[in-house]
This record gives sequence, C-alpha cells and structure tokens, in this order.
Amino acid sequence: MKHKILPFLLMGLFLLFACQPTPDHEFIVQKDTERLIETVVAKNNDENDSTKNAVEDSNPLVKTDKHYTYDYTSRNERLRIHADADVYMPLNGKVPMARVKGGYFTDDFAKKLFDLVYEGTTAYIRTNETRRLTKSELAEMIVYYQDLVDTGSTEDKMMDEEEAIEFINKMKEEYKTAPDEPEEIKPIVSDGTMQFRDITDDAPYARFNHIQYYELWTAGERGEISMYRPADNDPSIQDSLVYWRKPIDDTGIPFSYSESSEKGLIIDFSCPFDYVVCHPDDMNCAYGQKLSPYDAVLSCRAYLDDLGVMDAEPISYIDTYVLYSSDRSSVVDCYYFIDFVRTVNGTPVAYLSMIDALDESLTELPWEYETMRFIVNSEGVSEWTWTSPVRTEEILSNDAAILSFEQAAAVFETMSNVIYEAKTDKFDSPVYLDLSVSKAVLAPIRIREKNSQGRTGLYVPAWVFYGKKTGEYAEPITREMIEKTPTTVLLVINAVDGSIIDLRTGY
Amino acid sequence: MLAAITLCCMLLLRFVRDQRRADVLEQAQADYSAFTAQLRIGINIPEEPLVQRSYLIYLFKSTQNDREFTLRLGDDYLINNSGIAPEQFFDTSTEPGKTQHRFSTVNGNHFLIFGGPVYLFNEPYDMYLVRDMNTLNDALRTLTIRCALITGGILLLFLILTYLFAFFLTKPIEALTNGARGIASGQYDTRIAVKGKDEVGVLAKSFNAMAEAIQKSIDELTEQNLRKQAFINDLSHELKTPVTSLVLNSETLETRRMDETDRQRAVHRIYEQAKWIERLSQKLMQLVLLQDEIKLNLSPLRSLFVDAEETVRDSLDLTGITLTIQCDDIQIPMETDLMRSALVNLIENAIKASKQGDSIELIGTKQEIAIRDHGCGIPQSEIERITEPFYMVDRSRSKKLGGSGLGLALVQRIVEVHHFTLSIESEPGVGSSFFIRFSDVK
Repeated sequence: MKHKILPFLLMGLFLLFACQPTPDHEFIVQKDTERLIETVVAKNNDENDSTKNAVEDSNPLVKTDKHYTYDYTSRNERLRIHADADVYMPLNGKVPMARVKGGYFTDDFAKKLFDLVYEGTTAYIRTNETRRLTKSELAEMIVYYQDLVDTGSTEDKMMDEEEAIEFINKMKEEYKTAPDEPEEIKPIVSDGTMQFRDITDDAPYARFNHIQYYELWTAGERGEISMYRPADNDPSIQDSLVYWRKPIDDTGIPFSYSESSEKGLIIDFSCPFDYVVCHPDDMNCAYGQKLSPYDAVLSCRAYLDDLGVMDAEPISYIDTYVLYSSDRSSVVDCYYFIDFVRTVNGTPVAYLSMIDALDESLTELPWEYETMRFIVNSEGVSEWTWTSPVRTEEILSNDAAILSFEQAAAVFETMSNVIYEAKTDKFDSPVYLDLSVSKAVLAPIRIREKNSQGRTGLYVPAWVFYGKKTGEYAEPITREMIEKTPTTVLLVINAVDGSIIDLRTGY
Repeated sequence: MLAAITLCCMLLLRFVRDQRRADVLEQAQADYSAFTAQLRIGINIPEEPLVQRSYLIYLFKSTQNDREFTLRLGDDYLINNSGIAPEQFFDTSTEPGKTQHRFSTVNGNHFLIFGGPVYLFNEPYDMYLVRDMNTLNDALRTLTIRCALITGGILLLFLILTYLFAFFLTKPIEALTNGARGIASGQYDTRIAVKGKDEVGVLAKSFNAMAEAIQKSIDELTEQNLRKQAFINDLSHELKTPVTSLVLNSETLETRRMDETDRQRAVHRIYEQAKWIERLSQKLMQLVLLQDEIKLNLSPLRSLFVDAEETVRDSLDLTGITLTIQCDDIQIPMETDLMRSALVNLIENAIKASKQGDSIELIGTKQEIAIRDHGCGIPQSEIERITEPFYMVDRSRSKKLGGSGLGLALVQRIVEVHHFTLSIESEPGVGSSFFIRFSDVK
C-alpha cells in the first residue's frame, strides 16, 4: 500500500512546489490621464469658488488685452519663428475638463436627420444591385471579346487567351437567360434606419479586409445622406456624416466639388479668414447681398437645433463662393463655408482645421479629430459634413487650466525651437521653416488614452498656438510664400501640466 | 512512472520558462539602453522647471517605444502608461546606472520591470521599462496544459497497456490458481486450456499432466479402497456362512438330543466348514503376505510342471480328468513354490470346470505357460472380474466344489510379483485357456 501511495505523494509535492504562481502585487498608480484629472480636481478642491462647478450656457472665446510677441532665428538660420499674436481665452476665464467618447450617430439621430431632409418625399436606400445585361448587349460583348481572342489582343483587357475564352463562355451562358429589354431595378424605399453592413474589401491596398458598420445612405429628390458608424465600436472605422442637397446647377454632385464655370461659379477668396466666433457685428463680407454671413450661421443653427445638437458653435467661415451672373454684373448667390466646433460646458473646443504634415509622411490618425462644416446659400444648408463626433460623458471640472499664458509662452519658446529646428535637418537637403504665430487660444482640446485602441479620452485645457507654417526646400522663405500658407496649428501645450500635445498621436 | 514523467515535464517547463525569461530580459536590457541613449540626445537644458519638465516629457514621448517606460522624479510621475508603481519592487538605494529587474504579477497581469535611477538634466530620475509578459505567460500556460494533456494521455495509454498486459499475463496464472483450487477441493477432472508455447503454456501443460496423474492416482486409490472394501465385505460374507454353520451345528450338538446319525452329520458339517475356513485362511494369508519383491531363481519349467502334477494327481484321479503336459526344455526366473501354487490353482480350477473324461493341457514354451481346459467356459463379460478376490462366476457351483473365490486372485498376485502377465481366453461351453506370459526368459 505504501508503495502505491508514495509516487502520488511525490507527485503532489512536485506539483505543489513547482507550480507556485508569482506573488500578486497591488502596486497601482494612476496612469497619465488619470493623474491629469487628479491634479485638476485637487486644484479645484483647494479653491473656494462657489461658482467653480457652475454649468455655463455660453462661454465664448474672447480676445484678451494680452499680446504676444516673439522672434527667434536658429543657429543654422533655417528656422525662423515670429510671433505677433493676440491671446484669446474663454469669456469667464475658465476652461472645463471632461471625459469624452467617440460616437454620436445613434439610430434616433439618423431618423431625425432623415425626417428633416426627406419630410414629405421619398428616399431610397443604396443598393449594389445592377441590372442584367440584355441579349443585344451580351452579343456585342461576345463579338468584341471573340475578336480580341482571334486577333491575339486579349491583353488589352488584361486577360490571357484562356481567361478571355472562359469569359466568353460565361457570357454565352448568361445569354441564354438574358432579357431582351433592359430591366428596371426597382429601388428600395428607405425608412431612415441605419442598416448593418458586413463587407470584405479585396483590394490589395485595403486597410481592412473585413469591416462591419452601420450605414444610412439614402438618395431622393432633395439630396443625399450618407451616415456611417462602426459596429461594436471598431476603432478602425470613423463615424462620419455627409449630407448634400441637390445644387441649383443640377450637376448632380455636391457643390463643394463643382468648379464648373459653365454656370458662372467663380471662386472668390477675398472674404477675411478668421478663427473667432462669428458675431453679427463682425460680418463685413462684401458679398452678403443674397445672404449675410449671420443669416448663414443662423441657417446652420436652425439645422442643428432641429436635430438636437445644442453644443456646437460656429467658429469660422473659411471660404465664400460667389455665384455671378454670366456677365459678372450681379451676384446670383453666394455659398458660405462655415466651420463649427463643439462646446464643453458652453466653451468652444480648440479649432483644428488641418493637422500639418510638413515633411512627414502622411499617416492616418488613430482617432481623427472632430470636424463640422456647413456650406450654406440662400436656400439654406447646401451641404453638411460632420466627421468623428464625440460625446461628452462627464464634466470633470469647470476650471481646469493651471498654466498662465506666460508660462505657456515660456514652454512655447523652448519647445518650438526643439521641435521645428529638428525638422530643418531631417533630410539631406536643407529645409527652411518659417513660423508666424498669429494667435494663442486657451481652449479645450481632445486627447486620447494612451495604449488604448478604443476612442475614449478627455477634453483638457490647452494653449493652442495658431499661425502659418511655411516650409520650403533648399531656399529661404519669402513673404509671398507665407501669405499663401493657410493658418494652422503650430503647437499645443497642455494647460494643466505644460506638456506638449502631439495632435498626430492624440496625446 | 507517473512521478517521474511529471517531474520531467515540470523541469522542462521550468527550463523553457527560464530560458524565455532570459531572452525577454536580454531584449529589455537592450531596449532600455537604447532608450536611455536616445533620451540623452538634446539641446541646451532649459532652466525653468516647468519648461524642463515639458521638454523631458516631449523627448520621452518622441522616443520610440516610449509607451513601456515610466519616468519619475521624486514622488512625481512625469510619465506612467502602465499604471503600476515600479519603484515599489526594488531597492531604492541603488546607485544611478545600476539597473534591477523583476518578474512580477500585478492585479493578475504579468510584467517584467526593469530599470533604475538615471541622471537626466543633472537630476536623479527613476526610469523603468514595464513590459507586458502576459503573452509569454499565456504561451507558457498553453505549453503547460499541452504537457499535462500529453502526459495524461501517455499515462492513460500506459495504464491501459499495463492493465491489458497484466490481464493477459495473469489470466493464465489465475486459471492455474483456480485449477489448483479445484483440484484441492476434489474436482480432479479440472484441466487448464493450454494456449501458446511459452512458459505459461508449458506450465499449463505440466499442470494438466499433474492433474491427470493425480486423478489417475485418486481413481486408483478409490478403486483400491473400493476393492478393499469389497474384499472385506466379501470376506465377511464368505466367513459368515461357515461360521454360521459352525455355530448352528455346535449349538445343535450342545443343546439338542440327537441320534448318532444326526450327530455324526453335524460333526461332519462342523469339520467340513472348519476345513473350508482353514483353506480360506491359508489362501488369504498367502495373498496378503505375498510381497512385491521376491527372490527369483532360474528353475527348469519341466520340474515345475511335474511338481504341480503330483500335487493335483489325487484330484485328477478322483474326477477322471486327464492332464497332458508339453514343456520345452527351458528355465525361467521364478519363485518355485509360488509358481507351483499358481499352477496348482489354475489346474484345480480347470478340473472344477471340466467333466469326467475331459482333458486338461499344460503347455510350457519360451514365452508362456498355458493351461487349457474343455470345460464350461467363462462368459466374456466375467473374464475381467474373475481375478478379483472372492469373485465367482457361478457362486453356488464353486462353493459346492469347495471354491473360496480367492484362487485366481492369488494366481494374479503371484504372476504380478513375478512381473509376468496373466491373460484369459474362454468361450462358454467350449472351454478356457489361461496364459502366464514371461517378460524375460533364458
């Protein structure tokens, strides 16, 4: 009996001593974003401001009496930094911090938009169905391909002879049941709901071979809606909405794509470019006979109000397209391109029109930044695009900013040198860079969780330095070059801890 | 076996784990060194703490693989993407430049923590690489499970094979055991089915032979016992009649007044029965006392015949039966008195079976002694039994002729101790022939 028990005892001992797991510990600290929140909350708790958690309806950005100037030229004289900038801050001087999550386009929202656009009319859902070829069409194709085979010219269709013959046989087979006359594809009426799509993209350059998403794609007499949201929060798919109303020139495509001069569309860039909130007193556009910028903004607001999007503010109108009469004697209409930004507790977030990719290979952002743009004319909203929307989940603090502008400026002066001077030596050929800072704004900006593939993050207060970033290879920058450069974001400084926020990575 | 396999598997897994960990540690060391080297590349160190911090964080985040690193100054974490406190695992008194490492589990997740103090911007920072080891652990766990399954499978197979082997090995032994038990319990006809020509098959064969021999011996012993019992029964039966006659006649003489004739008759009966008992006892004594080993001497056969004839002369004359003798001039090894007794018994039986005027032949050759009569013969079915003690074919006739039923038993016994054989040929109504065959004649 002992001999039988002994091996099992030995085995048990081996297992007991050999399979000891590594002792578990609980040495946990907060990750970067959580420490950021803790810092802000601690600061708030220290202050005795009874209004610090007040909910604000509107807290627009206003120009302060500060003015920032700075000049710097690098040792290799390839980098020039010049600041002559106004400083903007929220009206009440407080910038909130909030938790955010990607996504906005719910089924309810889709239905609201659908009802708004297609009320009283019929809209149709997209279908990939195509009509069958008729007998005559097939016969023509068969003759054509047979001729290619006979003349040895199948390579014109990127086929070898065998493939062409196989294709001909397939068409012959199809011919047997082909209709005599073209068949009408009966369109499917849309009910305004988002449909689940599961597709495989076999293209060699396809980023993702198998994607799932929800789609509302409709076309009717009034226009077209395409709205997408990912299934199961797949971070590889961005939420997006594009609506366009059929244009008056009847080209059948969105106005923004149309540059035809047949109807007298002439692009006019003379409207001033400004990043501040449109205010009725500032609307001095000379082309407002048909529609003033203010009214254009009101059209957009009415649209958003109807859809229940109350936390968006116009931040700028970028371009104005003027439709002249054929003899240019009168303005037929004008189209305003107006960008909106979302607000957090009434405070507009930082406007990010373009992430500059100067001398960097263009890479896709892990989480694109939210953009909302309207194209408005006298008939109302002509187009509307809204990409990568976010939802505010929780206001963590109403007053989260810690750094003063002076502190931020100190960081800017050091880090702009560090970041941009490195770019001038990056390639074999020298690169010249000119930074012209025109504006510094304290506003919330979105950062995302590091080491996370999902779309969750924070709105944190940041000092955003706007200006023009002009770059040129092998020759110094001229004034003309600078003037042609659009304004963009030069540097973003976290107003809580002074760290640089890289918009490409999102943190 | 089980313990040995388990030990081997565990040692192997341990080795694999340690080797993989060593590889991971080596890679971590290289990554840490590369990262630290890149961090030190920079321009003039900013003076203002906020700017310095911002610059350092930017450098950190701009360096490849920054996500695995944590950076701390005093109690302040500048960067920590892992969510754990690496410094808690190490001795904080370590000098800058010396790194430490540890494999740890935090909240169920496995990490390699590597690093230590490092000087950046003339300040003592703590920088650690926190590398996720869950993938490695999962791989090891998968390997462990596979090893366990394979080990379990092998052991199961081993157990099955062992069981089958033991079953097939012990089955014949069990059969042998059962067979032995059967024989011990008296089932002497138990046999083992012999399969195969291996040792077990040979053992089974031997067992069967043993069982056969035992059964035969038991049967013989049983038969002997039965014969003995029958002998005793027959003896008792044989004695009962004359003893009863003696008692009755004696009682009659003692208790009744008889005339002389009756008295004489009774005395005669007493005498006859006493003589009969005397003959019976003499024959019985001879039969019982006859030993297995007797001393044989070469003696002429003719002399034996002559002696036997002289002994039975009176009987022959009385019955008018003729005895003819034919004998070769040979000598055979024998005990003369016993052989004479056997011949006399056979001749007397022939006389009893014959009628007046019949002849009896006594023939002696190199191979045998034959006694032929032309008497009443013996039924074939009785031949086998007539050499049994007290067995008589026709009991009434034999008794009338003074037979005790022991004569042929005595002849059989004498023939056996001489290592000769006795055979009988007979036909009722024709006669009988008795043959004593020699095994070794000079």
